[in-house]
Amino acid sequence: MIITMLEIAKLELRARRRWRARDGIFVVLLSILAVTTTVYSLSLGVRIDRGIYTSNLKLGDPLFRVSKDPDVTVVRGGVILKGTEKSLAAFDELRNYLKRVYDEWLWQRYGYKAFPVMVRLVRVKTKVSEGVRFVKNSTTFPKVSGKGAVEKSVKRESEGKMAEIAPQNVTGAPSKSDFLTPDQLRPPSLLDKILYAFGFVIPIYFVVQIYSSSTAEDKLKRRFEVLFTALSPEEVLFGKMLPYAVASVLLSTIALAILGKSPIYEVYIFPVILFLLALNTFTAMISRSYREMTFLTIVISIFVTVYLFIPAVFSEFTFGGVSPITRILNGDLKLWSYVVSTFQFWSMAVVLFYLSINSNEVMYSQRDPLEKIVELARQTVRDYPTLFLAVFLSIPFVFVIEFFTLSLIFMFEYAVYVVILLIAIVEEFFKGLLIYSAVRNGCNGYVSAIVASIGFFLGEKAVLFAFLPVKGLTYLPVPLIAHTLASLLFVLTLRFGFKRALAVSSAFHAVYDGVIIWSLLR
Amino acid sequence: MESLTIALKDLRSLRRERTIGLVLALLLFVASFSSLVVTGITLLYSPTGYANARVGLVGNARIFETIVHPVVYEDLAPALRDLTNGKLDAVVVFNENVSSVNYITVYVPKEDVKAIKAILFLRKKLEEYQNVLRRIRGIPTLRIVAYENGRVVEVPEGYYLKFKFVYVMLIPLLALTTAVVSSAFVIDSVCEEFEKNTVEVLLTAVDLSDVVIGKVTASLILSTTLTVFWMIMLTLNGIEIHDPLSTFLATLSVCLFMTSLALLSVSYEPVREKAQILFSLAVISFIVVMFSFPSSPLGALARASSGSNSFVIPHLILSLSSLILTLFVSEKRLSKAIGLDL
Repeated sequence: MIITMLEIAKLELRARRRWRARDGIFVVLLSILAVTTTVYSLSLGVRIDRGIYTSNLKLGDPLFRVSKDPDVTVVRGGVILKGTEKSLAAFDELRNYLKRVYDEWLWQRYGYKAFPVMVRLVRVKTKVSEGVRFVKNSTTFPKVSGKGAVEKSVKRESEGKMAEIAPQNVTGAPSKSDFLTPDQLRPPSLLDKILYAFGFVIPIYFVVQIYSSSTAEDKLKRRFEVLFTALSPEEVLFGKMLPYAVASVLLSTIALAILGKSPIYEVYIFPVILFLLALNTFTAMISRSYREMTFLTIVISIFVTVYLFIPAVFSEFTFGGVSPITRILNGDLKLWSYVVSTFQFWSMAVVLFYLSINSNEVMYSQRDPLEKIVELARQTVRDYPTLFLAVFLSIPFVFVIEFFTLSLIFMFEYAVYVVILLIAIVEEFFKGLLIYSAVRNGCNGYVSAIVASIGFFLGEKAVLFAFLPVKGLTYLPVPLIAHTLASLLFVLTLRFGFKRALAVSSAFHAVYDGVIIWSLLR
Repeated sequence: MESLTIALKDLRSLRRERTIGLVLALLLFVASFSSLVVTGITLLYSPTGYANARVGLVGNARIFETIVHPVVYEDLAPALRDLTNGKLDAVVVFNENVSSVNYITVYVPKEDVKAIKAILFLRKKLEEYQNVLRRIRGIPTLRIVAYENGRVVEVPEGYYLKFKFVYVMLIPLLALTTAVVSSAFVIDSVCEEFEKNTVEVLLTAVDLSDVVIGKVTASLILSTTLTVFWMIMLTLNGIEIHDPLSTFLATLSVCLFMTSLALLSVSYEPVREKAQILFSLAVISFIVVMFSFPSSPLGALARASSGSNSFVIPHLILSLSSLILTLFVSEKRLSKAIGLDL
């Protein structure tokens, strides 16, 4: 099998030879242009906010432009606002600008005397048991003109005092350039982390994009049809993705090195690579056209990107641990952390590979992707053990979808009810789909409902324990009963059609969740 | 007329495949997720969020104590222990000196969200402290008062963050998502005709220019629909779009530029794999440059949506010109490609 896979991989690499030298030159030139413009633009920063506010006077701040109906009207003795959100924001920015200008004026007129307070920040990692580590972070805080001279006035004896009181494990002695005036103190920008983390993943996206195009083309030109008659789908698909997996690993390892991270962190990126390859294989298999595939890929890629990066921004919260990027940024190589942040990528990759390999029958059908998924579920769930396993393995998908559902919670006043309902629908859909598949393959509906509920319950609790360690097993039977009752209701009403059965079981589930939340909040 | 027929055929297939629903769901998600981020930013930077920060002081600083009301420690070690255990939000280390510069070391949590709370609190308090020391030294202090309807109003520090997130990040990102989706649509629909050889069938009935213009028209109808959708979603979500028409035109201008890039990529060679890669690489440069230049269509979009300046006509003329030029080039290149294939 391995030799066949390597042969397929060789064929895939040979297929890339249709990229002529001229194509390569174009790609290299565009890549150089992309890197150069990115570096240049990063040095300039985001500047589309220039002229976003208006004032009655011409100010030195490029954020402001003169207008007859200004957001802020500067008069002797104060600033007149319009009462709008924008006017308040404009005043906040104007105040910052005036402080900067005033500080410069003070410096020219009074020198050191006008700057009696200089601050140095030391960042301390909190809540660690193995001892306190101190990390100095002075680069985050920008400096303004006129400050250099103030820094020069740092007195030797003051540094001496600082060295006396500073603990031994502070990295390096305090430097003059670390001291800032109070208004120069800036809280850390959460978005910087996203930009930094993008470096790990962007190279992979490009490689996966080539893989996805190649897979779609093989399908469109019916090459898979021919290949699958001679070789097993596993050999063809694994062989095909092998060069892309190797290229992604190499590129992400280089990206890690450039961003100053050890190559060992590749262990966190590898499951993401596998998942993206599996996802693109699956979307290629179930899509009916390039358009459909592109739309599916764009939408899913954006969701995956959000799932990877947003938790990394809020790394100190419990949910931050769901993303492997959080672990890389935090330098966390503990086994449990690894399991918590990668299990969903490993298991989703396995499931998607399995479904792709078995998608031969639905690949060329003109049914929509959802109908194809239903058909694949029917092919997969043949008896009670496969039903149990399928439900158990559906948990990572449910978990990821529910993560996004929670984002709706602040959208409008009663969004929490919508979120409860959506979560119920997602859970009942996955359970219902698999029960429905088992029933269509001759399994008893009620037994299937109980098996699916146990499988779902165990999977759900395993995930919950990973993130929210629950002491005691007192309340465990309650959700199990709820899952079982909802599934039994689904089976009972299945004779009226899948959608109606799903509506009934979801409504029951939502009411149950609502009551539990209400009783907890009471 | 033939172009419109081709455009409608492509749009019908989009509706039949129900992929449009997926994109609308994506935009809905982006809009709703932004609410989450806006709420987070508002909570994080609101004065009530950091008003109760607990500060430890190691050293002798009487004036500072009257302003910050810190917990005073004899040594640094117990203060840092309390910081790492979460009992304090910051530890300030210095001995007050009224006549010369006070070099203050502040220990704050490494974790960003905790650090924001501590730094925002201390910045405010240290500015107050600086003003007191300046007054003692006979140096004038700056006081900026805001009035609204003749009454003094307090504007918290960091108030601008939410505003900027919406008009400088969120709306441009929604416009870019729309443009990327509609450009990818052009690449796919043109490449599919070539790779399935259906373009030859089409050319028996219509000209190549009709095919290309039809594909672009479909893409523009798609981007128009998506733009109107997210503008309505934002408005329902309580985010005001100050000049809807100019916002729409600025977004359209971004889409026209990106569609031109997509057409150029396709006309290089109508093979999806190559066109997608070339387009992706070109788009990176395009996006980063647009964010860095205020005169770009994204800058115009930020200003139009925030109600600062609604002059978007030059962007529209430029983007339309670029599209017309690209249409001309792509027709030449694609007809050459067909000639070679035939």
